[in-house]
Amino acid sequence: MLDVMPILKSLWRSKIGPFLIICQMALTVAIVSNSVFFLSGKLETIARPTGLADTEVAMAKVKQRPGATFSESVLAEDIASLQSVAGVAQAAAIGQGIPFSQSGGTSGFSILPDSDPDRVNRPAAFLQVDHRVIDTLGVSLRQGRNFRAEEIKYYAPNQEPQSANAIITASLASDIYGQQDPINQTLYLAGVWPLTVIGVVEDFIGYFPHSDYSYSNVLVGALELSASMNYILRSDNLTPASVLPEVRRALQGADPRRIVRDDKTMASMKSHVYQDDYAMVILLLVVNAGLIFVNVLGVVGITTYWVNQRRRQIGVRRALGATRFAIQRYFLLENVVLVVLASVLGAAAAAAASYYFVVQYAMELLPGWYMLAAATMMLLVTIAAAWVPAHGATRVQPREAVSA
Amino acid sequence: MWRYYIHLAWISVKKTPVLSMLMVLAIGMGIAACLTTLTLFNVVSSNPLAHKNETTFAVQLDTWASDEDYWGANGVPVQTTFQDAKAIYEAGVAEQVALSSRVGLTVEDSSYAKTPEVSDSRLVTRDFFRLFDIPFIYGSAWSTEADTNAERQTVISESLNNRFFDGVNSVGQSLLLEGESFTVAGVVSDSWLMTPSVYDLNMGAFKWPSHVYIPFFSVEQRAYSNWGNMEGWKSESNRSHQDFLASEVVWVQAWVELATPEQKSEFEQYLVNYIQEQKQRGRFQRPLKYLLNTPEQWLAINDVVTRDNYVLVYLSVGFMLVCLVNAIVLLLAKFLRKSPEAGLRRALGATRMSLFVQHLVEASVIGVLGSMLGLVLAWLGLMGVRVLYSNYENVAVMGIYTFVGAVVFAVMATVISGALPAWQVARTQPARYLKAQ
Amino acid sequence: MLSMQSIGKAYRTDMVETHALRDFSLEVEPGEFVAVTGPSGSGKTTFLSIAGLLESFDGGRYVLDGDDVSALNDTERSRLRNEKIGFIFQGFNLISDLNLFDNVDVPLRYRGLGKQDRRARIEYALERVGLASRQKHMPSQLSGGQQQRVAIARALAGKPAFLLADEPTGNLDSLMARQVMDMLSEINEQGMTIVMVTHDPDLARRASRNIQIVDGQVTDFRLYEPANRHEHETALEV
Ligand SMILES: Nc1ncnc2c1ncn2[C@@H]1O[C@H](COP(=O)(O)OP(=O)(O)OP(=O)(O)O)[C@@H](O)[C@H]1O
Ligand SMILES: [Mg+2]
Repeated sequence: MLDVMPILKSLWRSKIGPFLIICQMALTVAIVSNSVFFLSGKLETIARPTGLADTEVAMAKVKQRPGATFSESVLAEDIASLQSVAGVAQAAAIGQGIPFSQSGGTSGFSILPDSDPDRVNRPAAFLQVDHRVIDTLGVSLRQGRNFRAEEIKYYAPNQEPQSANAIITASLASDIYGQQDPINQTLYLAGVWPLTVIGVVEDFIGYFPHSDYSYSNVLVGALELSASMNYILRSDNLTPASVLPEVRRALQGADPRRIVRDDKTMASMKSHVYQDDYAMVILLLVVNAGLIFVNVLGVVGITTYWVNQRRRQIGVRRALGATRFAIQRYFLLENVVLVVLASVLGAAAAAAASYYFVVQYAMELLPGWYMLAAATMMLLVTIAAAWVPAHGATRVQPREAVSA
Repeated sequence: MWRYYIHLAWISVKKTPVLSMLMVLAIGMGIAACLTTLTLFNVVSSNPLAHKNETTFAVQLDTWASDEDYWGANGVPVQTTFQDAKAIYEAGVAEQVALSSRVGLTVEDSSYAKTPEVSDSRLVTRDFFRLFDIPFIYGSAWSTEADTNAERQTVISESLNNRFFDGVNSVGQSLLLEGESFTVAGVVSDSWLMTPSVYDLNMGAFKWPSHVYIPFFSVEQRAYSNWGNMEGWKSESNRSHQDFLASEVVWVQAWVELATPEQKSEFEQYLVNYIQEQKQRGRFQRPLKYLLNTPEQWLAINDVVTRDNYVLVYLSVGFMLVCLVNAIVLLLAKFLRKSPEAGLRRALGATRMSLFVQHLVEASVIGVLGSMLGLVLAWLGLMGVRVLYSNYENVAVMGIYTFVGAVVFAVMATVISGALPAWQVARTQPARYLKAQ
Repeated sequence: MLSMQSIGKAYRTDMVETHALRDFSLEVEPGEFVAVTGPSGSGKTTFLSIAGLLESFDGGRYVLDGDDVSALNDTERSRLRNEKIGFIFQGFNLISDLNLFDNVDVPLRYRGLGKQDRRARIEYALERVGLASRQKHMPSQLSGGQQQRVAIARALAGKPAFLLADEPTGNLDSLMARQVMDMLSEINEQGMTIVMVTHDPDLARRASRNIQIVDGQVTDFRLYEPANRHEHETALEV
């Protein structure tokens, strides 16, 4: 009873117009489904848990005056003056590998030394830390214990200690040790530096969040005493941004040749790290919004045209007893038929495009329900867009059948 | 006749202002999206050394572990060890050898009057300035002797010169770097901004140039804090700076200029001999492999154009297509509605061609308006892009060629999309609408 | 002037083939005013379309003012149409988006005349149909009779060899129809050849010659009069 057949017939007769609008909608379905899929991947990356108190943490770099290097006592003084700043709850020294800093070291870790031919290296980022870092970053201990102050090895450049204690993240632990208890096991950094695992912490994101191993981190209880040192701090009742000026003053101390720089919050580091992803998400959203908008324009335009072109015909139908509802339904249905045809074509195009991306850029294959969702969206948008002009058609008076 | 067609087009556009606006809007949006992403892509994918692409080469030597490939790029280390870099420099086979590495240096004026800072700096050989076309505003690069003797000479950027010397010609003045006194040999212009930064693609291809340059071999006298990448495969315990310099750690970027194919093959021969000689000493444990990459190849190897860049281009081209198809559909609807008029014009003596041109002109009027809107939107779009990507802020601008190209492209695109509807309407049979009513 | 010999025209749609004209022959001399009558569907409009080069024909020979039409391509036919023929249609067929001046201008544009020349012709033509003062008006602002006069002005402006009119008075009331007819007679008296299709025997009678088309052929050169109308008129005579 629904007049699909006559619609199909009339579409077939006017060929080129409907064909083009089907192409347009199909392209839209293909683009929207692929880009929403791409976008959701980005959002997932951005939104995944950091495992850190990243909204409360800030950092600063300090470089001693030329010729001078850090010492344990300078470190202790700096930490003390940081802790005296109002709003700073905790402070710690970190040699390298500050989360989200995009600068640090990645190395191969294994349970066997370099000399063993069966050695399998598992890449992970390593942080050089003092005993306060875990609490300051807000990383939570899952197993074993934290470093003790006296365990931290302070060493001069190029004079790495023979051994050190380490705390590793949970996913690295299960990767390397499986069911085995990692506590008190030996882990070799780059095959040469033996570390004793004393604890396992919950996963947290390391210095390079876009790495495949961003959750694989090794905290090494050793600090190189060179000319530069990084401090991190955790604020309590104040925002980390608001304590930074005071932190700067505290670290500057009395020596004007000492340089305090790169003081920033982890929140700003995080948004910097994800900047390209955010940008991509926004651009994709803008273009998709544009796409939908253009389709609305197209549907409104073409439906208005069809209605106008057939005013007389509508008048005749109305004169012959068609209800307003039937008229509107006809025009809406016409668009639905177009969307359905377009969706089939669009799904095929989407799958083809996705396959190309898989082959060319090693992306994931587009799941089918994204296409379904895009097609459904297209349908709703089209019906909404066609509603007004289709409703206009119902206002055609039966007498228009006779007036020229 | 053209003016007549434009007159008719304008009447027609005014007749259906809403439909015309929708078309202009659709075309404008499509063009804006394309222009924005293409400008971005153009910047990202450009080769700033294209003019010397045939004579400039990034050197790659495969010094990696015998049992595994280098993990990134094309499987060959993207930097070289200090000893290999030094050997290439000292051999003097290549006419120009630009060795460089990024470091951070504390900069102070000799009277400590200004606030000291840690500046983004580079250890470079003097050829670096010539090879990468860096313009000087004062002085010049240091001499070859200064290069080989690692003399205390420096080249600084214009902005650093402004800060420490108030913008005056500082050549011959001294500056404290890491507490040691260096003599300024030259000041380079801040206008030098290579995008992408072919000379150093580590950690991003869009970076501001360094502010301080010092002779590369200064590093033999003392360690500087490295701001680049250092990668190693060998379990070496480097107990001193000299150990480090002699190690297999790669951290030097090596470029050479080889003006002729003869020079190139001579250099290649040198490399083969060198590697073989090193093999005898137990180094270069992998099959003999070296690569001389042109800047273009180098940009490709380092994946300067990211997946996101491509996705954006595909996306905007797709969007543009949708916009154009949309414009075609609307034009078709509009033109076919005017079929009776077209039939009448045919009856009154219009040829098919003149009807075709008339409607093409109408499509073009829409196209030109759409393009104009598109340019405005693209301008806004690029502003947005600069806000979104801070590392593109210096580069995401539309050049005059892009601008002209965009206008031509936009108008052509709409004219082409107007062709189908115009052809449809031009085919109108003259008798068709005249019979009876 | 216009010479058709054994013209045929068949419309093919799907399965059906309609022979609109069969073995159609007609000669029109310069200065004649020919009225064409005939029953509905007999092929009058078809004849006019072919005469006006709006449609192609299947067989026979058609010579228009010395040119053998069958040999011409579409572009040449368009040019010939533009130069030699003026059309007046039942539906007035003015372009509603253009004002009177621009409407009359249409065929002149395709002729490629200069600006001055066009202006002079348009003003003269509108003057002749008494609408010179309304150049800037849009067609919708005119009555039906006035619109048809604009159409006549448009046909005249091109100074064609002859006018073809298809039921020019069909949509007009009798007063308006008379005005239009007066105008056509006057134009004919000034030397213009006119071929006019009409259903109105009164108008047909005012032509210098009448032909009748039945079933796609010129049957005779008498006036075709609808039966009832005939009876009515005979009754009057009694
Ligand atoms: N485009 C067409 N396709 C098919 N048949 C056509 C076409 N045009 C005309 N015919 C047929 O050709 C025949 C002649 O039509 P034509 O329009 O010439 O008649 P007419 O004498 O002008 O009639 P009327 O007085 O009603 O205007 C008719 O039978 C008509 O159905
Ligand atoms: Mg007729």
